[in-house]
Amino acid sequence: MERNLSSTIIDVIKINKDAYVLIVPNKLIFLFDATEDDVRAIIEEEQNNIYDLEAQSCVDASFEAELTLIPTLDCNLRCIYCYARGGDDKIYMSKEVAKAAIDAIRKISDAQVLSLHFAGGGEPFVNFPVMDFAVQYARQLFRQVNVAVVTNGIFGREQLEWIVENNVFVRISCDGVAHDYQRPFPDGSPSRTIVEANIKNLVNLNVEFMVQWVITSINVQSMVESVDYFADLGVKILKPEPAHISETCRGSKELVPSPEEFAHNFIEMLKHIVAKDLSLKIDTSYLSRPTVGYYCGVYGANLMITPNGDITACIEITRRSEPLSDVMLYGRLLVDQAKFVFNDTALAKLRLLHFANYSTCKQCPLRLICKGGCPMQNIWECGFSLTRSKYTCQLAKLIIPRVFSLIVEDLRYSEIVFDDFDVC
Amino acid sequence: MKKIVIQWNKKNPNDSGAQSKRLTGAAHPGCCREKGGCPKKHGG
Repeated sequence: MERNLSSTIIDVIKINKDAYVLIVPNKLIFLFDATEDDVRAIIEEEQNNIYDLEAQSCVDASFEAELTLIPTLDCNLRCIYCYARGGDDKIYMSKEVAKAAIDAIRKISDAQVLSLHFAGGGEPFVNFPVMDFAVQYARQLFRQVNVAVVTNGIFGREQLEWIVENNVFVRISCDGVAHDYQRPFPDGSPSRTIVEANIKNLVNLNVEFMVQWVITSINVQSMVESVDYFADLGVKILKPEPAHISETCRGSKELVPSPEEFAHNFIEMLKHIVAKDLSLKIDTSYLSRPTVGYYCGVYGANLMITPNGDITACIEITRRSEPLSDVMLYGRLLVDQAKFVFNDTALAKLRLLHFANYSTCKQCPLRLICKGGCPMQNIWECGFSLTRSKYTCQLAKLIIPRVFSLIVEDLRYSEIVFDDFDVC
Repeated sequence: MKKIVIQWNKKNPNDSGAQSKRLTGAAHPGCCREKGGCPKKHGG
């Protein structure tokens, strides 16, 4: 691995004439009424606190085992921006593949706990029997199985009961006031009524869930309006992300909101949440706990099994016919042997996808937070040249300093965009 | 000078963070959390 972080991993952003934010692994230090000498002194103090982070492995062996199954590429919606063209292929995972994947991870892991995720591809609940089978089978092999599902929200009473019985964490997609236009059924009819009812069901049943909310050029101006809609539904965690249109997506690039528009409306949305004292948290890929880690599990931590038994590093690539599949499909499940085999050449390429290897990120003060952005988006734009997507870079630079400015004005903003932290 | 520190992982402040841990909902076993998967949109 060619990761080589520079000697200092403390970055500084100047918010205004005497306010600064120091970005340190696991820490944000806000300084008010500070001089440059004050900042230098704090940096020195912090550098003494950080021991050799680089010496630590990037893969923590203590992690619980984690497996993602993609039950199908089929889908009961035809979202206009779908990254997977869900529904175009009627390919379903068999119980044999699901069982072999669980057996295979049992063989390579000593963990007592398995995080078992279901994602698309298509809509996982379209192949519900395999999901239920996989959970029950995994429970025979692991002491504890934590289940999560990413769903489009089109499911019935049986699936809802299954979610409750199995304590499933749910990420449900809903596009707010633009939902019916952006997320129709195959015949063009609207899906919002069903999704809305299921969100209310999740609220009433105290299920842990978050709403994935795709922002396009169509709905970017209605972000504030949609926030009220979500708050009224009882949603507690919202995940607004700008649509990304790649070669394999359904939809045209005109759907992508401009970085300025997204950033502006994102900030207005935060202001609205504070002004109305809404009980909402905002989760976005543009903000994360500052660390020296990877953006995601693309470097080989993602064990995502396609319906055919390929192992993909990114959910955007699930078919061998797709571009980049020679690298992104970096392994294969041998079903008859219940064994994973990996392509070392592909893995070596994936492990380079760290911000320390991106030339544009090396001197950027935001690198510990944005972590180089979505690697797949970088690859779509720049191939494997280890170059950052201009789009996500611009957005990070528009959003992160503005969020810090808001926090400097009012600490309540930190409660909206951060979680699981202490204030000292 | 006034100083406010937002600190994660107080028990293990030198944790390198194998991957991006999303700031919100970090306690959830969700799909975009620290141990793999996609912070951006679907999956993982």
